Amino acid sequence: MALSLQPYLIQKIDDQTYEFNTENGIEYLCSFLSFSEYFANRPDIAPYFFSFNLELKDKNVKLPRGIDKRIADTVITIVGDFLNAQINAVVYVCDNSDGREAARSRKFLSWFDYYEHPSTKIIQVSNNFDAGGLFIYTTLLVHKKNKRIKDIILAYLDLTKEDEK
Amino acid sequence: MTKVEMFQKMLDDQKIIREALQNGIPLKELEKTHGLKFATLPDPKN
Repeated sequence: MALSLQPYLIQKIDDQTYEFNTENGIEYLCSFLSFSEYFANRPDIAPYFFSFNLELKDKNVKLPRGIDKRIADTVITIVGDFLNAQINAVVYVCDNSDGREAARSRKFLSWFDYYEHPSTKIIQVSNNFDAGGLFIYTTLLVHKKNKRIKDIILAYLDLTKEDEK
Repeated sequence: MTKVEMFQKMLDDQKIIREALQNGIPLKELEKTHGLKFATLPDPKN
């Protein structure tokens, strides 16, 4: 099925940051932070790992009720384009500062579970685990045609493996 | 760095990024102040 995403207009506000505004006037900022430091034991692929960050521009903004599917479409577009080069991988670690990390994880996973989403292009691997009492929700996204896909998935699973007790 | 420390740092860095963006601080500044490195983004296709 053809892709029918309807993303909001994405603007680059500097070399590290994209911005998009919703029809409700909510402003979001996106960036990709290098995660190479967490893969020091795999220097051959470490430079290709990034985290994806999605933030509200105004921390005091009141979010409208209901689901805005176009936010998901916009995030899918941004992350999809980032992965399309078939080199990088994205790790999403759910913010737990407000106790809503499980809901945040479900929402992020659902965004990449679209029926018509390029599941033909992107593989999603999710691993939630207990890091010494800190419960972490994570997801890896990588392009199916990434030549290092096997190494990338193994390195991600190793990173998100619970330490043996 | 232990695994707990790694994931705590990831979450702490998220908070640093959030606060910087909400205060209008360019992420480039965080490279100097916190050693955080960001991907250089291409122009969006739209």
